[in-house]
Amino acid sequence: MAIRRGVTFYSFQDSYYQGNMNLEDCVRFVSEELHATGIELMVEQTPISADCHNPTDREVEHWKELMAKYGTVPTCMDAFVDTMLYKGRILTKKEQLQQFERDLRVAAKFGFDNIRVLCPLRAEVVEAAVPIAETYGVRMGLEIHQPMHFEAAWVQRFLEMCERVNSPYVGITPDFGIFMYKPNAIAVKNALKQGGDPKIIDFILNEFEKDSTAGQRILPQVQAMGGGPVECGLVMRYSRLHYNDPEYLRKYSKYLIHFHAKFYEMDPETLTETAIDYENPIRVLKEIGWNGSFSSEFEGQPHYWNDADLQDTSYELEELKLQHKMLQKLLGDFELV
Amino acid sequence: MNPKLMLDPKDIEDVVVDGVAVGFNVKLRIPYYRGVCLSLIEDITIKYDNEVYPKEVLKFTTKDGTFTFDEMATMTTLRWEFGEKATVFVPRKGGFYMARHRVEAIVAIRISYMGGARPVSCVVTGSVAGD
Repeated sequence: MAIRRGVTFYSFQDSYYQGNMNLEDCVRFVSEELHATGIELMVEQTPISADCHNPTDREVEHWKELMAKYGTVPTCMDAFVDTMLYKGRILTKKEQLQQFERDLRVAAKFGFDNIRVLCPLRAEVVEAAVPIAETYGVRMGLEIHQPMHFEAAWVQRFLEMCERVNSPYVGITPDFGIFMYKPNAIAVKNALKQGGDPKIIDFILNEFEKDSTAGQRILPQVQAMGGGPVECGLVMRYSRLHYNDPEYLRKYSKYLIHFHAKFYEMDPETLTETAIDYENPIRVLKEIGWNGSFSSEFEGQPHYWNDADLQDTSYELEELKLQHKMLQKLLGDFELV
Repeated sequence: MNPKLMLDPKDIEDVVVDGVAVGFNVKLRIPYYRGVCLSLIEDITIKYDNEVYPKEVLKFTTKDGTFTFDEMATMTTLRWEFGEKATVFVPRKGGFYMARHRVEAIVAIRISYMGGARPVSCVVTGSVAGD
């Protein structure tokens, strides 16, 4: 039993968008700079084929050669169901299923064992896709993403469906953002830079340290203390935070398909994410002997945008390097090598 | 992606026919983290100072061709890819004079899990480009 380190190319979005890196550069970085092996992507962001939903055999062959060249393996593909494909109406269940079938087919062709299912997709659509997923041999994991949490009715309904269907092809993909418990250090630093009152910001941080859901209730207090747009903005940004007890991973271990190792900012001194708990969830996964993959998902880009140099996207790479040092440290010999 | 990168002031140019500027082209990159099929583009509006050019008068060019927004409403397989510069033609007689003016692009994509379209705006002004 072991965990594979990998990266979702969502992490490279600024580098790719600006043309600083192409698809192969992303694969090379994962392999040569991070010494990781798992590749996750969305074909609608970093396409592997000219028609992202209809790859040719030659394109599939080329992709497999690329994976072999760098010793990487496709772990997860991010599927989307555009329920608002047409203006003025929502796709019917049958149409949603058709889009889903398309994504399962593409994932299977490119060798992805798993797909990430977007959280708002209805359980009944995913349930109807189970026989298709079984046919293609691709597992479906509903993303559990902030502000969703394990106790949310939506997630519970989905888990009930998983239990009823009892197929290894349907489960969940938790995003580590559900283990976030306070504002990131860089968001705090930026608030101070914008003239935020250090006393009020200290108060905000103390409240979050005591309770990750503080953002739902402290706004009136912050306003009463004289907090303006900067201080209130900081609270609002984290108003839906809800730290999930990592023990849920043990409780629902049967349904764990894959993980998004979401992060915003690494502390280079302590090698910790400044606001997301990695230690405890990884401890639980080791204890239960979970077998699967982590995809690093860097989502801190807006914190690092620099008006003086819009072309610079090196923060994505630097943060990934730090996060993988942390993952290596925490996984230890539980890492799949 | 940074919405400021949606429109590069260097990517605006006059369209000249028989020596007369019949309008100008604006190259846009998608203000979203993935590419989408063209039917998902809810709206694009270009503003030139106070003049407003709605999608009905614009033409949109991707690697697959040049289309009106009416045509794009049913295009579910042709796509505007992530990072791809699409060209929007704005039919403004006389073209544009960047040094003294302001161009704004507003793009709204229907994002299903967000519950619909959210307009994203990018403004460039004469202070960053010559005419």
